[in-house]
Amino acid sequence: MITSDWKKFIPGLLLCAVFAFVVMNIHHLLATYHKADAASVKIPVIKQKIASLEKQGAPAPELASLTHKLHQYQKALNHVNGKVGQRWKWATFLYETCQFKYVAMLLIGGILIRNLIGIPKIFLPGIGIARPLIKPGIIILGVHYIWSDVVKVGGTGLVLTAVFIFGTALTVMYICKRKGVSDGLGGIMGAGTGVCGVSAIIATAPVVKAKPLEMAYAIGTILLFGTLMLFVMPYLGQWLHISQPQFGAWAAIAILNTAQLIAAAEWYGDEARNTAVLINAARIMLIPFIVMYTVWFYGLKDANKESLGVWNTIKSKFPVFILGFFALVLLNSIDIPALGGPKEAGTPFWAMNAVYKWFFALGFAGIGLSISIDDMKKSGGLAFLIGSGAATAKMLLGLVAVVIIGTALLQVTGGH
Amino acid sequence: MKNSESTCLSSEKREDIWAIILALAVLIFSIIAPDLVHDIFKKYLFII
Repeated sequence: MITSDWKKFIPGLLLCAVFAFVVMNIHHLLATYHKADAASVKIPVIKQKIASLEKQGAPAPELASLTHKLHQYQKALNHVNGKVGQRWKWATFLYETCQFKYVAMLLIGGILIRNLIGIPKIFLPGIGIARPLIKPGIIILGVHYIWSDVVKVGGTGLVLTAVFIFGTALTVMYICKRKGVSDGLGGIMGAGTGVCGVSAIIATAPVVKAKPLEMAYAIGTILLFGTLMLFVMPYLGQWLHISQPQFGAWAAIAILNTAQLIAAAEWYGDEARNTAVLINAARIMLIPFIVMYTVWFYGLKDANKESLGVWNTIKSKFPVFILGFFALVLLNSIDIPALGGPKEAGTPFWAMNAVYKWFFALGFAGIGLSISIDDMKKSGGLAFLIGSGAATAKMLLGLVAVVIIGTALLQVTGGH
Repeated sequence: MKNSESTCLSSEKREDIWAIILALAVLIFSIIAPDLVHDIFKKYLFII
């Protein structure tokens, strides 16, 4: 489990930790002043509303809810020692208008550092190992869900993604075959644009015997498209006034790489992230099936001329970490008093809920610092056009699908 | 050679198992000292 040369990972991991620490603190500062700015505007409005409701003899629960809101706003204002009427417009502009949150800062900042300043080779192994730290974050997010969410949102998501995954994979593989693209490149591009990008490419590559250069093309295409969507979709979603759960589902259809998907959804908001994580959990479980589908499409057998076998394919390609996520969903659904819930202060699940963003921050730091413009240039040619064309079509059709489905079926409740 | 390849975990599987171990460690610490874990990640790590 631990490699003998583990020391080579330390410099890069430390760099990611420092980068994540600085950015999380900037995010915290912006969020605090943005909240204070909003509170400064809303406190007089709420006070006026409470006074008029008291005159009208409004019901107690309505007044209590407004008083609670007022208390929250006053707390936000006290946090920066501010007064009503004082403004922090710069914080609202950066945090709300520009959506300059920790996800954007880590990704854009990381890309700028990597490509403008450059990163010494000593840091690269550790940066590579920081990216998968998103996985423990996803497992911990299991405390946000209960089984009814999994059945409702995961079920809807599973149907949605299954239709889009196999539809896209079949279309890309068919067009690649018609246009004379090699089976290796067509196969991994089909699997990659269908489901989970890089993981699916790596899983399918040995099956279709893709060459390293073909893998570089396919991975370059997926990452280039994912990076573009990661920065475009949150703004597009806001412009189209898509609800957070709808955005989460849309991103889960359109963005192929798990890390990029979580980054885009987290950027859009907590509810979007909750939906995206659940649909992604359903989606990545389909990886073994996309491998079997590719075997069927190209009529392949392995080197020993034996069938790969359904069970062996599932066993070798199944993303094991997702079992940890479902174990936490199960524990949260059973509602064990000793574990509590993410909103119940002083309980283990409440404490865990405070940790996942730090795992995400480390992972996003790793992603940002590892996006090299030179690697992006590796994508090219006809396969790139077919792959990105299919991914764009999937994004547009996905948007239509989530608008038709609506918010209710895609919303995660989280139970207690 | 073939034997060692089959017993060796792929990097993807190794990442998955490490993710489970890390999440389990967070769960255990959260059971032992929930307030401390919460405060570290919500308060102490924010210095500005």
